[in-house]
Amino acid sequence: MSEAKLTAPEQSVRVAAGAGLGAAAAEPVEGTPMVYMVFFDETRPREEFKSLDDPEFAELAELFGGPEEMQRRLLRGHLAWLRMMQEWPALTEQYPDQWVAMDEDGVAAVADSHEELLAALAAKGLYAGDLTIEFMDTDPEVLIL
Amino acid sequence: MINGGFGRSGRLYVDCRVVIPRFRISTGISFLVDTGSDETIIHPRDLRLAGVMVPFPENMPRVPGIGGSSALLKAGGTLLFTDADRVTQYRYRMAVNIARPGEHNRYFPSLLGRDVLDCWYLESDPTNGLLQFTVRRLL
Repeated sequence: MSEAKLTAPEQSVRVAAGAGLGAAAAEPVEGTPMVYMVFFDETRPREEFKSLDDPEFAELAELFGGPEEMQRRLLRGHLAWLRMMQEWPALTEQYPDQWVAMDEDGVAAVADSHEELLAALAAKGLYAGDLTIEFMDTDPEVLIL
Repeated sequence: MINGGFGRSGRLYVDCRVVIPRFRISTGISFLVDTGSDETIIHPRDLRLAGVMVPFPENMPRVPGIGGSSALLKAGGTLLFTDADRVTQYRYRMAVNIARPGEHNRYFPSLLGRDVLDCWYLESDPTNGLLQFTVRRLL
């Protein structure tokens, strides 16, 4: 990710450090933010909006392949999770006692074992950490934590 | 506001992206909302699901819990939660507990503890399928 790309206004990402909680956090920030990130960091003081030039944010974004890719992957992963939560009962009927990987568009892979599922995802070039994976357990254990 | 969801048995869950650079971890985890846990803990099941291996040292501190004690490794990491607006990301940089795999915790869900939950206002209405978290304060 080049410095020019990071600082281009049309691709800027606003970062807030402990600011803009609640409803204000959901307000679009003038300046075309793609990611509106609220920082919770006990090691840093409350600050107003920071730019993507913030090295800590840039470092985090770089782990995802850049800010645009970070936002895309975070949202895709979250939508996959929401979809799995909604479709879990139907999936258990459709794929009883099988492993299912979900992405935002639907079921990405189904397998009898977790290992087979990971192999199937790898064969498709999908990273398991970006998906939601669950075992469609027809007889879940009672869990007391 | 962060949307949560109810699992098959009615347990409360919330979605989170966990990033721990030290172990090259960047994975989505469906955390069990656990107001009885003082701290957030990642259990082996979720790392296994993502195909992640963590090298654990021999001697690790053990922390008591209901059902037995767990050997925990603390690692600096970032927890990211997606707001219902699908734009806002709430970022928590904190020390995250990673439990060493054992037979007793093999299938445990990861727990979102009070280190994070104490910062949120929680609304749970299972009869209407409603689970929402409003961020109230900093860590």
